[in-house]
Amino acid sequence: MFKKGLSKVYIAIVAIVVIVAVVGSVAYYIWFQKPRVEIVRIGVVAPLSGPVAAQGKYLKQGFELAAEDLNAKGGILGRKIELVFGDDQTKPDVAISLIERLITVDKVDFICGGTSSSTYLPTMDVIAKYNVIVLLSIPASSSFDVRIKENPEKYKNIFLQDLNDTVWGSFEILWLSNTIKEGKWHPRNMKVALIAEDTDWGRGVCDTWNEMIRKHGFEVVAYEVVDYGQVDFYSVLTKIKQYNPAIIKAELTGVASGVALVKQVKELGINALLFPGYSAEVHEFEELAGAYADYAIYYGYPVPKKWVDQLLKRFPDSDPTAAFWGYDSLIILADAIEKAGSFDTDKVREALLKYPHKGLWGTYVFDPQTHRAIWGEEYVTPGAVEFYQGKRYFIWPERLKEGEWTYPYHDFIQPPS
Amino acid sequence: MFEQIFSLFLYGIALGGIYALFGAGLSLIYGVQDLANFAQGSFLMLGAYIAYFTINLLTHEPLTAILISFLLIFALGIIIDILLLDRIRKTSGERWLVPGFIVTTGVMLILDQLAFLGFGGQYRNVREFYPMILSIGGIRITFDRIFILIFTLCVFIALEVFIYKTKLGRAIRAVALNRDAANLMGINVSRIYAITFGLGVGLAAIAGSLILPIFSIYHKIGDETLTSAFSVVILGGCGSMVGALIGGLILGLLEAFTTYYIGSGLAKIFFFLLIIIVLMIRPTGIFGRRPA
Repeated sequence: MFKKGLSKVYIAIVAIVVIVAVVGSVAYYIWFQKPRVEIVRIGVVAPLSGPVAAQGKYLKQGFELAAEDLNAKGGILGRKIELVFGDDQTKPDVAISLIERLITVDKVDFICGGTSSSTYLPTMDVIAKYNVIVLLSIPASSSFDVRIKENPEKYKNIFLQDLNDTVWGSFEILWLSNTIKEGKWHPRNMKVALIAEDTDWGRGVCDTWNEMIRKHGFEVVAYEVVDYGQVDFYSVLTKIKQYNPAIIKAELTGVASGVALVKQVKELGINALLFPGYSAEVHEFEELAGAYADYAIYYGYPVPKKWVDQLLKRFPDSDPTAAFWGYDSLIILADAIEKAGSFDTDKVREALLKYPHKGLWGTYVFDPQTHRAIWGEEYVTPGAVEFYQGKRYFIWPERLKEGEWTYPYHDFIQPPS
Repeated sequence: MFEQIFSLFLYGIALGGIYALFGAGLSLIYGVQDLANFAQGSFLMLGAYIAYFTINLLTHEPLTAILISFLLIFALGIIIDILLLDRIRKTSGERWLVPGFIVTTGVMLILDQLAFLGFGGQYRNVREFYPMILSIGGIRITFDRIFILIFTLCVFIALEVFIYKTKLGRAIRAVALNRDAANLMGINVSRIYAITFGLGVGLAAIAGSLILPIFSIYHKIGDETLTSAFSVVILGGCGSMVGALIGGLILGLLEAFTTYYIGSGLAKIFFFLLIIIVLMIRPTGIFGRRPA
């Protein structure tokens, strides 16, 4: 391809570039890193690319804001916080490598973050190999709880900030049954269709619905499982339409999936009270869905308005309902370290379990058996949120209520076709 | 029951039309250049973004947006062929399958990353092209899906007319049949390759534009749909536009009906079984030509 002389020059140039790059990287790593004694290095894992990259970005922003706030007050036990971010791409194999890299190469002191249960369940055994606390921000599958409870010593360093899928599923049903009992809704029939994303989270929530909704007199007429990231529900919805359910409960993660679902439900003329699930959490949901999102219900997290203003001032494009997870994760961890008076893993673990930790959402108390945050009015609890005319607002419980429930089909009215 | 079957049929052929356009571009490029364009999905993605920004910034008229998207991607395709692919072809000669694969994969990675850097990772969509729904009895179909159906058909008719009734189309067929003979007959083969590549990726851009009111787009959407394009080519046969249309429709209908009857997870198994059966019975695809 090249003349002989040119080939030697080419090889020499490439060799010099490679050598300089390697030597430069090593030199930077050895000589220019801050001495460890000044900082506490916290690894943050998040999906910064892929179907839930938006949530990952907001989660990252929450961590960054928390680190800035804490560092402004002197850091943790006098040490400044340094965040080391890693992209899990919502893939288990990538998450496993990422965890190992953060611990063995980046030498982080603690790890926080994560959104997907299916991504992080496979990392549990890897985490168990190292004596590093991992506080998972959002993974909510109850499979974590089961495994930690069965192997407390092995998984002692794994903590779960979010409530689990059983709680999330139960919560929506709690709102529903209260609404019916209070006479605010008379569903035209007692039929429910479930659409579960084929992930631990999706199936977990829908399994909870499948079990619990029957106890309230409903009949589950369809239980469809769809692929993660699926954006075409026409066939599934055509099937569901024949049963004429009064309620469709979906548990989907990606915002594109949620938007596609609410849109296609309306396009097919299916008139049902719609629960799109986690996909409705990020603010792109109502931007992308527009009026198609009207009357959809999802579970929201009440966070203080003052903090929301602070977040949006710092990150104008952020989403508070996703960012607060990252913020609270770091606040919880910092609080535990302060209460432990040490960065020692065993002492911090003990402090995480022993003390309540005040965050934006509420007070986090970790169950000693499952290492998961406990649900309750005095702890952390969600609220029911409705979408209407481009806005989202809490409709339940009373203490969070920002507006009235506006679903038009309240009293056995057959909706227009 | 009839209403559901017919609804699924309409939905399946609308979806299949998009697959067909996407696959037709790939089939055209492979049929003429013997190049498996792994960047086909990236051009779909770019086409979708161009249409999205045209609708949001210039005009709400989808036809204009689709035309602009096609022309820009067509031009980009020609530039990439002249500056990059042509050099590889001339250097590698007959053995350009692997270098072609490497180069188009590189183009895919670069375009995806540039899109991420330029547009970010968030989703975008157009809620609808035409906010109307046709309802007859229990059958409902949005005007957007009707538009996709009709537009896809028009594109394929135009493609057939272009390939079989124009001088340039005859030149493309000649090069596809025998490059050396075409060269000897005075056809500028490099120019034909460039136009074909531009046309092939332009078809992907049209497909990308048409998915806007159905799916939300982001920088990785092309990669996620690339399997569909290759499946269309395998089913329909390389180099055949009719084959691409039939292959796309089969794919769309299969997806619609198997998802309805057995679920989306198992639907994929049936889909790949079909691919295997076609490869076993007719390796060149339904309308593919056997190699000389």
